[in-house]
Amino acid sequence: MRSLGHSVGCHGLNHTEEEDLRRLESKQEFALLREATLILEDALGEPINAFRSPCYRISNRTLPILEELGYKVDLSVSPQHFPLFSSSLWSCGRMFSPRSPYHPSESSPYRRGSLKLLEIPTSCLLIPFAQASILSLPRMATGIMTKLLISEARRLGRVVVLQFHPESVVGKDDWKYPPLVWKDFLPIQSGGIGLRYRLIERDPVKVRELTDSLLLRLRVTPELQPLSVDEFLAGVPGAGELAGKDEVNLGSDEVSCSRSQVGRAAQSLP
Amino acid sequence: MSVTLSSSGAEFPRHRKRRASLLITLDLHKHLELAACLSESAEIFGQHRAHVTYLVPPLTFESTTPWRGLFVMCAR
Repeated sequence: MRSLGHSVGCHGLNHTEEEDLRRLESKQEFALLREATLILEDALGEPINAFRSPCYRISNRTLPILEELGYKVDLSVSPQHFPLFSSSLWSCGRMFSPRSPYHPSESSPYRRGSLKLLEIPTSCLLIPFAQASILSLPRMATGIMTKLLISEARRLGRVVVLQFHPESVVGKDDWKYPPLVWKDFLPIQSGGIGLRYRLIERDPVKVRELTDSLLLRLRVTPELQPLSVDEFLAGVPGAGELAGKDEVNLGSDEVSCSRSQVGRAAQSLP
Repeated sequence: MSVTLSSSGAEFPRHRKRRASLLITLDLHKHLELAACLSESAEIFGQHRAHVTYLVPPLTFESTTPWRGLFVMCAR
C-alpha cells in the first residue's frame, strides 16, 4: 500500500457507540488508545502516525495521550462544523478551532498550544467536506464548496482534507428508506438528527457516478497535490518538532505562512 | 498558468502558483460487506490515482475480516 502512496492510521479500537472518548476515564482512554495502537503497529510492522477518533469525539486528554503514544498527526477536529447535522450536537468547541494545521494545547484540542503533535483539521464549511455531505448536496453546491475550500487552502496555506466512508464510495444495495416520521427530526444516539441520513444518496449507481465526478474534479485540479498523511509528514521539515515555532511549513510547494498570518485569516472567516 | 517567453523562446511561468495539499481519508467501521466495499473503493481510488489514508479501528474487523490481508489484496 505504501508503494501506491497510501497510509494506514488508527480510528479507535472498535468504533462502537460505547467508545466515546469524552465519557471515558483517563486510564480507560489511555488503555483503549494504547491497545488500538499496539494492534495496528504489530499487524503492520511499523509505527502508526495518524489518528482520527470515531465520530470526531475527543476529550481534552486525547491529544496528549496520542502524543505520548507516538502519534504525529491527529485528524479529529472539524472546525466551524455546524453541530445540528454533525456527529455530535453537544461538541461546540470545534466551532471556534483553527482551520489551518496547528499544534494544539495540552488542555484543549481546539486551541493552539505546545503539543508536538500536529492537528490537521478536516475541511468544513458548516458541513464537513465529506463524501456523505457531497452525496446530500446538489451538484452545484458541491462544486462551489470544493472551489471555495481549494481557493482558501491555496491563499492561506491550508490543507484540503476530504473524508470518505466505504459505503459513501460505493453506495448501499438496500438504499430505499421507509417513509419519513416525526422521530427523524429528533437527536439520535449516534449524533445529529435522523433526517441527515435520509438526505444521503445511497443508490450505488448514482453514488459511483458522484464519487467519480468528485475525484475527477480533484484530479484535474493542478493546484492540488494529493498526499497520504505519511507523505504529508515527509514534506514537513522536522514534523513533530515545530511546537513553539512561529512558522509551520505545510510541505507542498511554497505553502508556508506564519501563525500570526493564519490566525488573522482564521479570525476573518465566518 | 500564464507564461513569459524569453528571447530564446523558452517558456517561464510568470508567477509560480501555490499548491494546496489534498488529504483523502477513508474511515473504516463495521460494515456487512466491508471486504467488497474496500476492494471497490481501492479500485476507484486507484483509477483516479488518489493517495488515501485508511483509518482503521482494528478490533472491528478482527473477528470478521483479516483486514491486513485485505489491504494487501486491495493494494494489488
